[in-house]
Amino acid sequence: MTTTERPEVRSRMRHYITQRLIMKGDSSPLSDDDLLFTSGRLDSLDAVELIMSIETDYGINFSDIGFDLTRLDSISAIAGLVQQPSAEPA
Amino acid sequence: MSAESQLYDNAAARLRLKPSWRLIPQIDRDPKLVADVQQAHGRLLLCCAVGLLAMLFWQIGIDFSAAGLALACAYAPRYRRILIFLATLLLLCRNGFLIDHAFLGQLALNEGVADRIDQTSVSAAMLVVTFALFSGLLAMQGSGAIALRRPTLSLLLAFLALVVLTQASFMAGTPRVLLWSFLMTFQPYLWFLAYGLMDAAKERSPVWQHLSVFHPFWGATLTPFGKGLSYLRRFEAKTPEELAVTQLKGIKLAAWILVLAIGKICLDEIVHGQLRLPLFDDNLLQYLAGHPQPRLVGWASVVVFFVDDLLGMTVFGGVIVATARLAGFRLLRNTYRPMESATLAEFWNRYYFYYKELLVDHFFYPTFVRYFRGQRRLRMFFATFAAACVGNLLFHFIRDIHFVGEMGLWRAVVGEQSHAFYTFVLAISVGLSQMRRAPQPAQRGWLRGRLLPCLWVAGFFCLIHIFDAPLDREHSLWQRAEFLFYLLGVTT
Repeated sequence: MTTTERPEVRSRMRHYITQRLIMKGDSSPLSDDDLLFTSGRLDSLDAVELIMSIETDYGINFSDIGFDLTRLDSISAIAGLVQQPSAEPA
Repeated sequence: MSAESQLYDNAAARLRLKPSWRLIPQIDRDPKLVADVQQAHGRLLLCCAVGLLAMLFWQIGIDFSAAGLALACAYAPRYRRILIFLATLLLLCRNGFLIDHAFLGQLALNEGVADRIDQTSVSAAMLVVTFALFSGLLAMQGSGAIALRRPTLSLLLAFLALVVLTQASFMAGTPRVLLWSFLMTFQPYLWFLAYGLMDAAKERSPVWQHLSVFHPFWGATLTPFGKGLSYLRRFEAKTPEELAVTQLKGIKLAAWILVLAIGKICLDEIVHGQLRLPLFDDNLLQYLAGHPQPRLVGWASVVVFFVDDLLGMTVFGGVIVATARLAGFRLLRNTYRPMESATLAEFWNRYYFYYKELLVDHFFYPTFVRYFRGQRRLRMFFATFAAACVGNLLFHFIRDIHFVGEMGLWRAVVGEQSHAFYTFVLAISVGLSQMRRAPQPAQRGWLRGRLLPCLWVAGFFCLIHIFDAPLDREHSLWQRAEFLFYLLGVTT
């Protein structure tokens, strides 16, 4: 596991989320600050897929850091979560 | 794309079925109208439209008067928080703070202390105690107290422990009445407090602001429509333009709800008035009394009950969301095209959005991030089960907690059997539906990809309702199963 640079995290997350949106028939543009869950573009099922992806790719344990969906609600928020020291694995 | 699009309507987006006309025009997308509504004359026009809608709603027995309070909150952004607090307080006062006084009065009679207890004074004292407790808990959140780290779990355990305590023999008489008074004062706000404590752990806000959205004036059940303060902030209009668009969306939704409400009245009149089809509840009771209606009539009543329930839920939630939008909160709709659901999980999402969100926020996610982290499918299934079965069952048990006072704990729990079966089947089915994922309709054609899955979903929820309605403690699981067997032709 390595600490990924923010642009790379953003790029990977944007790709991942865009793919999920396309699967759902949503091909609208996606910016880094667009709301994903509170806007209804993604649902709870997408949230769990995203959680599992972040856990696997970045070694984050959501039960340790306290789960809060708003921290996954945009690409920027996810990048911030992945980059913050408390979220990084020891 | 923004919040209003409700893009869990992805199936519709795939199909690109965009009608060339609309019964309710898309007034929120008209730039001139949006600009006008930001001016004084436009606001006056909007107020008139709200007044007209409120009058029409009143004609069909629906209270839309809170929309007036909503407009007052919307047009005074500097004082919006305090106005929301006052409006909420006003409506709670009007509704007796949602305390079941009839139940408490009967309980005092049964305990033989009715002449010794002044119910009004007790209720007032319990209100003070309860809201002081809420304030203390909200202020303490974030202090690191162990019980507040998992607020929902702590709240549920504490509430249920007190319910069990009401059954103790040493509580007979005045102590039992006082404890029930506290529980019945606390109960309408339990889930609001759970959301409030979750919010307070994330960001500091004045306690009164959290309290201002405990049963906010735009409406709610035990389920918070708009969750808590932090969720509402995300949907609050920040600029005059956003406010105008949000309010126009509120008008548009209210107009659509009016159409649906009239449609529901017409349906009921035709089906139950003209065609004399019995209500589902009557049909079940007649069967149990040994006078079954013909099977065709039974099936018709099940289907009509399902449609009526969908319309009722849409109207009920729509009025609340429209009022919140008029106040400047661009909330997502509660019920959104449920008949287009191609999976059971999707139906649940579209039928009663804020209730599903409650179960997801307080049961699904906490379970999902903690258990079976190494086993992908089991983890998903277990979390779904925790929400759809355990959470669902607990929510309804607490909602109908008066049954414990009326029937005793054991009989109330046993009486939950049919609903427990309902939640169990629902949880297993939704869990499997979540694990399967929805097939891509485009690859399977309209009939196999859309129509048949939608019919299967509607049929499933039609049938499962037999174990859920009427939601009382009188009819056993076996009695309801017998009725289903009769409809299916298994028994005569």
